[in-house]
Amino acid sequence: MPVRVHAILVVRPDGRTPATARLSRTLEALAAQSRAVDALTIVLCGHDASLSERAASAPAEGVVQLPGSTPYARAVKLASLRVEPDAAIWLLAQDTVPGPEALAQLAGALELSPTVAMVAPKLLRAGTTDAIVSLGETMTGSGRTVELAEGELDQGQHDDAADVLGADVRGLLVRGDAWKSLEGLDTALAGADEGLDLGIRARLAGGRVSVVPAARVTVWGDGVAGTPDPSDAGRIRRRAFATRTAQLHRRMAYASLIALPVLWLAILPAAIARTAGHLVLKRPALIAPEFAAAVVVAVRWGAIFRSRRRIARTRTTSWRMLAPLRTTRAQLRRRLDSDGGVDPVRSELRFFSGGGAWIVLAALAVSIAAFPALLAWRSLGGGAILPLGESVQRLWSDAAYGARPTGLDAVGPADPFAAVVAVLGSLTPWWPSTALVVLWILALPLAVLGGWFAATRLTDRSGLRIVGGVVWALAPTFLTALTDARPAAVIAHLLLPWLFYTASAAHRSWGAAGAASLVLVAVVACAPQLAPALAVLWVIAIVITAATRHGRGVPRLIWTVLPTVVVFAPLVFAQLTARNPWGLLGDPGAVWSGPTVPADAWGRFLLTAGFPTEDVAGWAGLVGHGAMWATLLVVPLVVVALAAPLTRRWLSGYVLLAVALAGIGTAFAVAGISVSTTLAQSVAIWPGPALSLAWLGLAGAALTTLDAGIVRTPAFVRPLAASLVVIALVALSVPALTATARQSAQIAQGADSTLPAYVAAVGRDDPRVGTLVVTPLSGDTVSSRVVWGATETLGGTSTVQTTRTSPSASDPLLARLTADLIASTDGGAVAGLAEQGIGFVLLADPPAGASDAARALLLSAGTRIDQRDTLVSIGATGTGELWQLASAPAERAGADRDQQALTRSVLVLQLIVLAVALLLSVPTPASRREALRRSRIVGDRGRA
Amino acid sequence: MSGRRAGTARTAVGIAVAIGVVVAVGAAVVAPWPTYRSPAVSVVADPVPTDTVLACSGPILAAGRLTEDAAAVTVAADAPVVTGTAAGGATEEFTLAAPDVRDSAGVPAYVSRVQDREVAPLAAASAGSLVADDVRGLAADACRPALFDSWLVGGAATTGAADLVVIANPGDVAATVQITVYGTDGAVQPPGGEGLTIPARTQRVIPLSGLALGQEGPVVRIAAEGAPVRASLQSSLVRTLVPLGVDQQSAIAEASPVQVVPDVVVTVGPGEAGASDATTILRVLAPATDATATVRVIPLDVSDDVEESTVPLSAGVPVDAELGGLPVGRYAVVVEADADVVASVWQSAGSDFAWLTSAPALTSPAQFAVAAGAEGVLQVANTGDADATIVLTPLSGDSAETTLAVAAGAVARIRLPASSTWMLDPSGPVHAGVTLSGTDVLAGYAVWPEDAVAGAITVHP
Repeated sequence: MPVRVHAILVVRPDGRTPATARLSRTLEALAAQSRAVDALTIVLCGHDASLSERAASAPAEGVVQLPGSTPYARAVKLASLRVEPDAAIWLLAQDTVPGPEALAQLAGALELSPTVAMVAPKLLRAGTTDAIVSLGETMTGSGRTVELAEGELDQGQHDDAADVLGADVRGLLVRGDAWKSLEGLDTALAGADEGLDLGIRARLAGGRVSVVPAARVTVWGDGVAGTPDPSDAGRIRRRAFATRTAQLHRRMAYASLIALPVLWLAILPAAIARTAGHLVLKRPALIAPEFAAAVVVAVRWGAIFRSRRRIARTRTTSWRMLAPLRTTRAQLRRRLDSDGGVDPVRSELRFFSGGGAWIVLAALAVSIAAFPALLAWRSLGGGAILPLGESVQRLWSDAAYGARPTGLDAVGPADPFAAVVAVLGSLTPWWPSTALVVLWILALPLAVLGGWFAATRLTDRSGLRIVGGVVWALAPTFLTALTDARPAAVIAHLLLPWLFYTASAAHRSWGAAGAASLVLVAVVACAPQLAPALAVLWVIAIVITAATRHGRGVPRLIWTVLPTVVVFAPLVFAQLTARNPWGLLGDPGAVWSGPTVPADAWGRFLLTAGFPTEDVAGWAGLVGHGAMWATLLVVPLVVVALAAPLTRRWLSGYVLLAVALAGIGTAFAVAGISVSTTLAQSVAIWPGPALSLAWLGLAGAALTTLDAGIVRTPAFVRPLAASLVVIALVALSVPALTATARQSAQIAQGADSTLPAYVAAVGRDDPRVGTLVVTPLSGDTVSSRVVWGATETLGGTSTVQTTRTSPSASDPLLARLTADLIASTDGGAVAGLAEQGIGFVLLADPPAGASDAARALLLSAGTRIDQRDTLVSIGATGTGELWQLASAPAERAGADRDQQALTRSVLVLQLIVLAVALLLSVPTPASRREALRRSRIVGDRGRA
Repeated sequence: MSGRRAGTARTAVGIAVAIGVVVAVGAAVVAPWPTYRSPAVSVVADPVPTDTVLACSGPILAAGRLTEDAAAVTVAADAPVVTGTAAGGATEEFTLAAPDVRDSAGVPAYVSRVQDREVAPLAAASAGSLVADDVRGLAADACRPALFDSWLVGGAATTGAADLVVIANPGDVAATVQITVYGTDGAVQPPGGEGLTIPARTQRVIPLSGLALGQEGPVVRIAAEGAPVRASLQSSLVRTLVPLGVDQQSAIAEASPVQVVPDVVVTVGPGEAGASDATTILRVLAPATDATATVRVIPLDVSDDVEESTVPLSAGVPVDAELGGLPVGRYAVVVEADADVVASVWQSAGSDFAWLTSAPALTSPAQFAVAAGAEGVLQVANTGDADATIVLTPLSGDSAETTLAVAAGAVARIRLPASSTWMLDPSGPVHAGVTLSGTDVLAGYAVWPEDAVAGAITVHP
């Protein structure tokens, strides 16, 4: 029985593709059919004069004009009203060009088998002749659409296919009665899976769906019907949104009523989980469509129930009947598991064979020889080192926004450095302070390792990589930070080469960008003074990338600063609210007025030579005034570095010299900036980390020179220069590396607590115990601070507090309580302390060099405190005299409800961003394969 | 060829840049850079004043009255207290336990509490008199704040003297005191005076004879730890079964090169009936170093001459110097030494006597009470070079405000009603004392300045 065929041709002008030309091609193809269509309805979505003209000239029974935003399913539905009841409907669009035999084959298949509800052609990509776009679709158990032959070359391998679950909507020929009973396409599908859905419903209604490989339809993939080809970013997003919306909607429509609420609740978690997947697979662009689809499906209850009712009305067979047509996970894996071989450009890393491992081991030996006592210590002290929180839980609570572990009722953001300390301390969870001891022992080998890896971005020569590692580990600023016990600067120096290693490749790989973003957070957390210089370098990197790579990679570079911005946002907000932007530059951790350089020409000369203290990396202690000649030992490195612009890799040379200048400039600037105070003493920012940055640029430029070489220099110059640089630096490091042996280093065995042991013991059980520490500074001046818990901790210090320039809200209260306590015997002070939750009073000895008046104040204050029966004397301790409140103090005022809510949201946001960075930086087989195609060296066009 | 030209250009630019970098850094080294120094946060806080706590000497005591316990101390006569406080003051009375005194009802003490970070002035004084076989006479003393360092200059530990060292701790925590006795052998730590604990709100009584047995003219120093104490000395004298008087005296707070006793009253002239051989004795001690003290006796009547003498002092040995036969009248005794000294004057009045302690200089308003018992007189000495005027305002009660002028280097007096309390506001530094005198009765006590308010404290939070 011959069927009447009514073709519905949907036309949608697209800004970029010549719609009129496409329409003409399709109309010509229709006219050339061996079996002509019985009727043709053209649906024009959107106004376009030339299209209307062309449509009007076509042999159509009617032209329907619809708004431009009408989706394909709706357009077809409206047009199908014009179709006579028994006519089969052929679904076409302007970008589908049926082959001459297509309709004859399709209609023939329909006529042959009365049980077939619809037949689908073989879709081929336009412009090629043999790339299959679609030849039947099926779905997995979870409802995901699977194309049966997509992307394969048509060699007739599927020409025996017949029964399928569904098919692409383009070119579909649907029997009239089936169309009517199934109510056509589901308009809720957002442009994907319409054919599959129709097929599934047809099968549920007892019909069959067949593909007719002999019927060939070429498609352009403009997205008028079906999903658009993923040819640009916008189409990728649109396709992802449509596919995901359709999948979710179908899942909701097909599921049993019992499973429906569960599935609905799972929509958002699934979106989050899939987001993680997108990140791991380095497709962050798909995250927004993912969530858009989830939200759209989750709120469209009406559409879901309409779809479900439609299925319920027409379904005659059970879902189980469809099972054989679904695909299985194993089949899927077989199909996807194909790996095109690539020729790796990247050479082997040669960490072991190139001697990298041995130089790291050697550095470990040197480190143990330099700091032998550390092997026996449980915690480190001296300098700017404080104990770490006594438990992992304390470490992380110190790192979170909330009640600060110092200050009367201070609630505010933690320094990001606290998180670095928490990560470090969590490595030795049984006693976090030990982590610093381990860090100190491993510092030299880790510096060599970092320097070696950073050097792999600049040179393939194993020898030069070793030079890079040694130069990095023997940086005078690093050795000074080690002997002077400055943990933040040490960590910053250890992380900087990794920042270089990752950030230098960030423009070309999401993995590197993700890792760089994490390292950047840690570096800026340890050395906020580097933020301006790094921001400048970041802008330079973006400009260079935009100029040399036509903007590709710029989003990756922009991402690298995002976690830092988010992590620092609460701190920046707090400091700006306090009108103290300078405070943002303050060194994190303990405020210590240790050795530094003066802010004058002599100091800047030392900084230029790479020395952050006046003792010239220990030489002053060894040779006295002759120490300034030690600065000459840096000259070889500087000379070699300055030659970098003369080499073939001059761009790298310029960039690295710019890094060095940024570092030196930062050091010059911060040496004259004092923002932190301790015991009423202003402490200048320590310029060490800035010198680390400068050293990075110098060492990198030197390696570039040594690797690329300068034309017309004799062959022996390169090894000679390299050895000269290394020998000079080894000589330079002698005083610093022997400092502990000569007992001139600041590092010492650390105490468990900065407070008396009695308080420490109480505080370990109850971290909410508060201690008021009053230190007389002169006859009428005291420093007064409140410490919560067993000890002041490295992570517990807050730059918001140490750099504040105006009294906080609670400072007047603290001052009054302190004055009342030490200059009166009135009972109100103790009651006030108890109200604030303070349980102990420590009258600390005045700092060394304090006046006699300060000692007199200490005595009179002690006498006055002694006269109160509300304070029980514990006695004299190593740090001062201690009293305990006779009655139990009130609970410390914590963060209020609003602040707690804020804390949580801030934390969640930060964790999300860090998790994203972490997922991005996880290597996948695909990203590893991708990396193999690139040279490890950056900025060398000859090899890239 | 173009490659070579590009290479040459690159080399030229590179050299220029390298030189530029060196020059720029060198210039930056010598160029002045701006510096920024954020100030350390500080908050200036005025400490709250301390509650004014005044502990009185308590009733007149008698030792050895009980046959069953010869060492027991009993109450011989009550000493009623006169108190006064400024309007709005929150004064509370409390009682110090006196476990060393049989059947004692305790010793009164007064506290003016801090209100709104201010404390109202408070003055109190007690006086008691009796006539008995073993004790007779009038004793008066002001109620005093407690001290960490107290000098008791007076008393004797010889036969006939039944002197008692009274140490009260009006504070909330126990005090530990060290008693040092200065006698003919210099400073001695008596066995009973080492690490003596005075519990909170308790008064202890220690016979002077137990501390300085046989010393005719001792000086007792009481150093407290933990809490300040209020030390006083009750002295009574019996000579051949005739009681010759009783007195309660406060401690002297501080040794200093100048000691002024402004309130010496001679009621019985030399050679008159009942007068002992010596009627006025100055006891002076240079505790630390040898010194020479110049003693001047300034009479109230400007027509009389100022007598001046010198007393050599050896370190740690108290000296009793007779001030000759002073005619009836009022005097101030000024001791000026080349070292820190403490001094007080013993004055006989026939069958009563008084120890008149040195009075500290008053430069700011001070308050005092006039105890009841005999005619009360405020006696003021001006040892300075400028005339001074004193404004007396009643602290409570209905007396009228009065003024008193004291010329430079002179003594002035004003009679005040019994049981009155006053605020004394001097225009310049003066020394003042209150005397109660009559026939055969004499007592006196110095006026002390208000506790100095602690200065503001700068706190770096």
